[in-house]
Amino acid sequence: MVDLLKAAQESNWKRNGYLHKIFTTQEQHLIHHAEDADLLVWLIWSMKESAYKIINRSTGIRNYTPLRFSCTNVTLNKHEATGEVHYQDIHCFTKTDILPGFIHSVATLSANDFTAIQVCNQPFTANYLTAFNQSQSTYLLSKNKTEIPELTHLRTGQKHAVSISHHGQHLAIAYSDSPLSTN
Amino acid sequence: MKIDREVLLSDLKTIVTPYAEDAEALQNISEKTDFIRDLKINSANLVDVVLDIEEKFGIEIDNDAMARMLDVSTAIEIIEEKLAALDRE
Repeated sequence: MVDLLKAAQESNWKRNGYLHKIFTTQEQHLIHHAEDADLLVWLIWSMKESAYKIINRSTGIRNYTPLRFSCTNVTLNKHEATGEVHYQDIHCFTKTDILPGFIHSVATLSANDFTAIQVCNQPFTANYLTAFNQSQSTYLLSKNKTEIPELTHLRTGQKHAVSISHHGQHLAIAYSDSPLSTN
Repeated sequence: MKIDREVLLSDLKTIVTPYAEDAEALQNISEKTDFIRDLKINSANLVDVVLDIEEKFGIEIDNDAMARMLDVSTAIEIIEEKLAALDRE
């Protein structure tokens, strides 16, 4: 999630050295040749962040290596962008919603997974969990002891994959219609 | 040039102040403080922290060092390492 207004206010990507530290040469090329360079910066950044979340959740490794997440096949339309992110031998597919004031990327390990993914956008408030739970009657969203979000289907009791991200005023809850496999 | 860790901590506090979103954690900053979990620094601003450290101390933080730069104690270690390397040159 990138709140574009907050990003414009708080991040000066044009400062000396900034792009070199986080974007590959090819990514910088895309940015410099884009109609809307600001949008490209935050689009590629959010693609990297969404892929990092997959790697971090699956490996538990926490580090800051934006250059090692390499974005390719970036296709930008008016309301949506797609692309791929490569990290070592792992390939992620990303889909980004481009909405007024913010963009939100979802990464998956298989392009087919997108059909099962729902994204709920909400304003970021202190009681966003309650707000989500009151907005629909299928799932219960909660956080476990280690602050990892959990989504439970109210009728089946099964857990579904869920990921929450927020920046500035915006929050997105991405979850899967399909239950997590138990193995 | 050897800089006292207390001084480094105070310099780091000045550097992270514009990016830290948790005022209380910033007030209580210590070597144990995590930039993202405690200070709630946005990951896009962590680059600014790295660039500000480079400018302030006249050092270059390479990608491997940046990868580890998630908390105050590691940042202090990296600054000390890089300054010591400059001294040897």
